[in-house]
Amino acid sequence: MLTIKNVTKVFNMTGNKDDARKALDNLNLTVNDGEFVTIIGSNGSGKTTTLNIITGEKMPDSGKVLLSGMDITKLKVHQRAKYFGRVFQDPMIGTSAEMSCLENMELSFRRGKHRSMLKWGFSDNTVKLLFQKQLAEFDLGLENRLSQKVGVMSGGQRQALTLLMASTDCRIDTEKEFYTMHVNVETGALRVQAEREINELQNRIKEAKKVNKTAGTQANEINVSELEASLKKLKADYKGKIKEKAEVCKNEAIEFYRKAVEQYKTNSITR
Amino acid sequence: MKSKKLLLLSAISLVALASCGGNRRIDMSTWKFSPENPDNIKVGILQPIEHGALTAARLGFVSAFEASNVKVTIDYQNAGSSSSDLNTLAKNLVANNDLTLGIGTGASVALQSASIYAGKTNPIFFTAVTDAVDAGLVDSDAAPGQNITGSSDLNPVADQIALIKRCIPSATKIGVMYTQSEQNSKVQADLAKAKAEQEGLAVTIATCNDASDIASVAQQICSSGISALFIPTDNNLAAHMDSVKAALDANHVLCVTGETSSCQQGGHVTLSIDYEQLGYKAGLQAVQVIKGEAKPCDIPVFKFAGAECELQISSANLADAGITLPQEVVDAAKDISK
Amino acid sequence: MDFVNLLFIILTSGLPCSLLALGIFITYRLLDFADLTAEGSFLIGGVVCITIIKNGGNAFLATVIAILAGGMCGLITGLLHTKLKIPKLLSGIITMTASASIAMLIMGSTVETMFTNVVTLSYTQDTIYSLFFVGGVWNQVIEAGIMLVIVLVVLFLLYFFFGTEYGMAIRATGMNPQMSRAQGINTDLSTIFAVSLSNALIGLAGAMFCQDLRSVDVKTASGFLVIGLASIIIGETIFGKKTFKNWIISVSLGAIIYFVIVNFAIRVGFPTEMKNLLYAVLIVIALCMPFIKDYFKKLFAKKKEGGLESVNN
Repeated sequence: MLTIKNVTKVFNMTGNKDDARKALDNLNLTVNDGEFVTIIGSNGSGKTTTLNIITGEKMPDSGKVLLSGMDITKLKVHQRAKYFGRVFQDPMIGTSAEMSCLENMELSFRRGKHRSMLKWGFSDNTVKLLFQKQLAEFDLGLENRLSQKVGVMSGGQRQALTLLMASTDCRIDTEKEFYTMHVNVETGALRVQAEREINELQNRIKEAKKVNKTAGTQANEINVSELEASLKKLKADYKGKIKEKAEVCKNEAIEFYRKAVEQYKTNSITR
Repeated sequence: MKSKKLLLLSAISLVALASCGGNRRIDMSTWKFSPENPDNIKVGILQPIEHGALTAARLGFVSAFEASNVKVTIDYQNAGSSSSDLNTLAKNLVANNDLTLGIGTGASVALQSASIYAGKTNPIFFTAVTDAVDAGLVDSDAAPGQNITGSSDLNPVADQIALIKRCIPSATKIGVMYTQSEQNSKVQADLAKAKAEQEGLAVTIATCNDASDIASVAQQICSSGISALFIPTDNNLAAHMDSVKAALDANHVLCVTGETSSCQQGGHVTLSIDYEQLGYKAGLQAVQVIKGEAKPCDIPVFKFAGAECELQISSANLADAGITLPQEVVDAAKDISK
Repeated sequence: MDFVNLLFIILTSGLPCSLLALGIFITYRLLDFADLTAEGSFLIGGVVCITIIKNGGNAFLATVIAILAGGMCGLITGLLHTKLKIPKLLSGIITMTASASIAMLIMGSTVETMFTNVVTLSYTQDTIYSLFFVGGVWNQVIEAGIMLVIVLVVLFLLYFFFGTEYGMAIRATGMNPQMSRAQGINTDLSTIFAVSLSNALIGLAGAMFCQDLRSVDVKTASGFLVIGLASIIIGETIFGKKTFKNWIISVSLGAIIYFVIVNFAIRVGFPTEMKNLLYAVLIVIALCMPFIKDYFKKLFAKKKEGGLESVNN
């Protein structure tokens, strides 16, 4: 639960009293667990300022910011980072152009964790594969561009990456969560493929029905029932394939997960 | 376990290697000057920066070869006040020449280092070095000990003190002023004190720390009843002689300086070293070695005695201070007033 | 034989500057921090090292303390920038200026002159090179060997360090400080650490150079910042920076190439008044190499295609 209590923020660049602008005046806001909040306001109404105060980029002049009862008002940005995943407005800030996709994700992967001088910073294959799966969900082809520098990617791709980095939970706690995600990612491609083919076929059926209406002669009639039968078969086929794949993936994922957790629990990352 | 053993082994071998290493003294008993081409000696000269005195010394050195009919090829390099260039040039000169000259302490030590690190034993000469022993170039001024010798620009302090009695026969009390942190100045001040006491003069010593306290220290010592003040070759004071001049003028104190420019800027009398002559003397030493007449280890470091220096006075400054010198001194001296 | 001599002259001049270039590289390239402390920490490293050896200390100890002294200079610059919010450039200048005074204090002199007030070592005092000398022509081989070992060790350490979690945090700080903070990196601390590390390396370079020269004075470090930057740029241009390993090796080699140019100028017998001009020209040529290569490639390609290409253009 996030609470903003009586926060006031005044901006005064020149030190002149007349130039002072009150961005936030005695703001009070509470966000409960699991809530999805949208802040709407016109230009200059203080939206970004509120966000900055929550994440620590700016300090309030008065008031408090509490997270689950803990006072985080005085904490600096990097000290609060473990509680927040921030998606910056500007994708250029959210990701680091000189680093590769993989390096960016490794940064966010360790958010909140202590960065050691003795541990190798490049993740081993289990985590790399995890990253790939996470990237594949966006269907932007990013999973094949892990070692490419982020600077060559488009703004949209970088923003997708920022979103992913913000939502990275480096604690893989729930087994079920893990392999559900894994399964969804694996079967996701199949599902997309299936949808595509099904839509295609459905369109062909539609077209055929139209043609039949206008053609008239039986000789030129396209066998719609044949097409419908193949559609049914296609759907059943895919359902079967996906189910099969899901089973295989689930078992794969469980193995995967156990190994990864073991490694991270015992803190021995092999190169 | 394996890596620990390896570490221990390499540590031991490192210590072992280090203990049998070290700078080897050159065995001068078997030392011989061996030029690549005895008919045309390759001479390398290293000058650290463009400077009148240093250039004069270089020209003097070179002229010694002509005067002695020794054919040489001169390889002259100027480091242009860059340490990196000084180092690289020194290495190149040592590698390419039969003998080398360093002008000033920095250049001479650079040549010495290059020589040690290249394992070469060719003779190295220096000039315009004030204290060759302190610089590690020679074992002692009288017996340099290895392949390095040259000429020192230490001014003849004893003769300069004797000058005081010559100018002011009735003097009983003199002062010596120098900058505390300049080791070179302290050495001269001690020499001055010793000679002055020998001459039966009472000596007061005053030191200053930097440019800011020169005026006050000068005023203090000049008003303490001294008839003359000796200022050695001191970089800090040489740069700010005008601060001393005010005190000299106010108290009519005669000022004997260690070198020419201080005399010009505010002092009155000096015995100055001719840098071209200094270089020439080092050149003569080189000729001796080339002709096989002597080895560098046996040639003592050359230093000017007072009689070989030029007596200089500044009549303008003397007039400002209201001091008149004995006529014989004025006649024998060269007036270097600005 | 002459070529061998020249090779060792280049190596013994260039290898300390490889360390200098690597030190400057850490702040200038990785941390995006134009750090002018370099000449200050170089000088302090040299002064501390020579003064300790001159007073009877062990050469290894002197070198280690020079590294720490260099690190201290970096620490001061880092603190000035992160805690007192002094701009990066100014922080470096402040430390560099202060270090000139501290150097004079350590050496015991008050006046800056080029050819007096030099602290030199006597023949009996050993540097880390001469500790291993056996005499004769092997000396320069051993000296170059020791320098090479030190440079290689530093390269290995840097490669592994910047691959660790904290090393990557430092690189992130340089590339995008705001994002780094949002990812939980204490950018103040990583900046201070990197600047200290950089200047510690530069202090080591100073110690290595001054032990090669066996002397030090207040003006010893002047001009080395330019040499360091030139080495970085030459190295990157000629050898590329595709991977991190490639990059640090390029930077180290850049210093060696710089001294190849310098020694070439000396051997060719270039008049000493014009030598700085020659260095500048040769460096520009070295930097233009990729463009020149490209230009000639295009020229040959055009000729091959025949008239059509030029018509279309």
